[in-house]
Amino acid sequence: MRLGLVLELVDGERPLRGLVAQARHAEQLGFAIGWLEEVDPAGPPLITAAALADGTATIKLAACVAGEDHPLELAAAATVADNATGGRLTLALRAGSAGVEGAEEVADLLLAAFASRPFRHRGERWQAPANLPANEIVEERILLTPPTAQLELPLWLVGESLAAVARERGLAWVASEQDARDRATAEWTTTEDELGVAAARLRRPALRTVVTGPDGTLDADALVAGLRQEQGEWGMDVAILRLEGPDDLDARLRALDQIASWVLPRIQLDRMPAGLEDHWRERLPDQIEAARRS
Amino acid sequence: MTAQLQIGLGLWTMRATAAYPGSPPQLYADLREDARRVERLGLHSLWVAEHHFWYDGWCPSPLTAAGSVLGATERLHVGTGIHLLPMADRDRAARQLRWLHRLSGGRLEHGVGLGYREAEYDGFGLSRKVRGKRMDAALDLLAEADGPRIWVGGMAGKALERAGRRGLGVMLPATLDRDQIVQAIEHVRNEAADAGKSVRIGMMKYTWPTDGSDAGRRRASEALDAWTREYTGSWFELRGRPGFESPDLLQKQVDRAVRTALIGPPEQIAAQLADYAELGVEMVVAHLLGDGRRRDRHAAMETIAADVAPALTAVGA
Repeated sequence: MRLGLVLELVDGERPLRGLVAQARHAEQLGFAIGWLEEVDPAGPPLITAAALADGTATIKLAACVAGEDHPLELAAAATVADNATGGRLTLALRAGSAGVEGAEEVADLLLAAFASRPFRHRGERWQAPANLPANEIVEERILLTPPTAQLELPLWLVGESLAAVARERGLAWVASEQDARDRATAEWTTTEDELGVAAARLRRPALRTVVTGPDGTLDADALVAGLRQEQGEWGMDVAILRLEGPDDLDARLRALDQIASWVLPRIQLDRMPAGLEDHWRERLPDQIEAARRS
Repeated sequence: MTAQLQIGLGLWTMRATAAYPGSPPQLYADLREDARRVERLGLHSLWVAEHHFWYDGWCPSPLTAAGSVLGATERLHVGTGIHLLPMADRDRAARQLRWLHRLSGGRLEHGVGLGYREAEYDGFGLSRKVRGKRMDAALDLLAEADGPRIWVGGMAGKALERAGRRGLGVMLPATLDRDQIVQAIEHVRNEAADAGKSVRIGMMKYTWPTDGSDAGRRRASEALDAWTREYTGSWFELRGRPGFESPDLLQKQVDRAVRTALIGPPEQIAAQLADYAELGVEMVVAHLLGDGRRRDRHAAMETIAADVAPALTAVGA
């Protein structure tokens, strides 16, 4: 299983510094993906993703946006962010003020734009190109340029309301924090029934909250148990963790340290060899301390 | 008393052209590397551009590109030269700008323009005819907000009014001759004075330092010709026909760009810039024509920082 981290605004004065610190630390510890969302006072996540291009090297960056903005503006920002990060972008779409149908149309236009084929979109809300009578020199079909750096830019749909939309398009669906284990299980059962073998190509991400103490300490055993359970029940394979509780940036980074040593290794195999986890409980604290000093 | 002239460099488009092929992700990595170089050289700013649906991948999201540069630098200002504001959703643009402003500690310079390609407006579902109204509405929104400095691109009376009446900056296009610059500055200042505001004057200028030789000048002219002819021929309507189908008019456009460019040895460029500063220009975006010409671009950056900017300070002082 891969782990991701919700990147939070922690330093109001210098917002970028805190975001870079989290993303870089997560990257160094083996987190696969940083998740950016637009929650006041943070700004548009595609811009933030581009701003993290330089402070990080390998971690994937997911930008979670509402499916209400102009899809061509989104597509343009996404291809620039993907190229700027050397192909590390995932675009996650949630239903916004335009509702499920609005997000559906945005998803369709984005898929057309990311294909790097000429396209023409005629939808309820958007026409691209519009070929308005007032415009004289127009194209019948357009392409998004430059193409995304990735051959297939991952487009993920977030939350229960978009599960069916994702399924119909063969896109990955992200279980949100409101979509608990039973909901996720039901959705993925339906997806397997309807898509058959095609379901195998889809990642199964979920956003999950991890409660920590103010200093970042957390119950690693409980977290491992929870992740294993969801992995077993519905095949969760990317757990994007939202840390709730750390007082400050240092506490957040300490929480990441614990997850990297006490959680991540224990969810990489279907089962752990007898005795290894006991061995870690006995020896790992000293080894971590020695590694820290060296 | 001459105002301090700030020198920015432009114009980063991240194009992979037929003449200078390139890989888009590498071009965006080069952008950040160039930005760090400009920052080390101590110049004021680096400017990125916007166009859509074009074969060479011309950057379609300058605010996102600006974000990547601001994330890679500490002191450098980053400008949009220009952002096609009327094509954007203004509330969304306002959110983006506020965030960039905050993220960067106030290092964004927001240059805006109407654009001209009908195919771009049509792609976004807009009539080109509404661009002026949409620009006004967006500027009214942004001028009141706590955001980056705004520079209104253009030389038409309307553009100068937009900037002057709101007390914003104006960004004059690269191809004005001295008389036109003088007139435009007078116009925009009058507009501002009528509204009880003051206005900032910025200007783009095609710039290429040479060693003073004829060969150097020829080389610079060729580079400018190549830059101008391709997109003017493809995008401009000249007397109602595509540019390439009106070769004589296209040639005039190219000649005009070359004639109004700052091509020459550094001391000559510095003297011309000092003259603009006397006229009241506070910001010059030196458009380097460096697309794809990495070595030339870097040489021009170094020369401007080492030989033009210091001479200018000396003249100004």
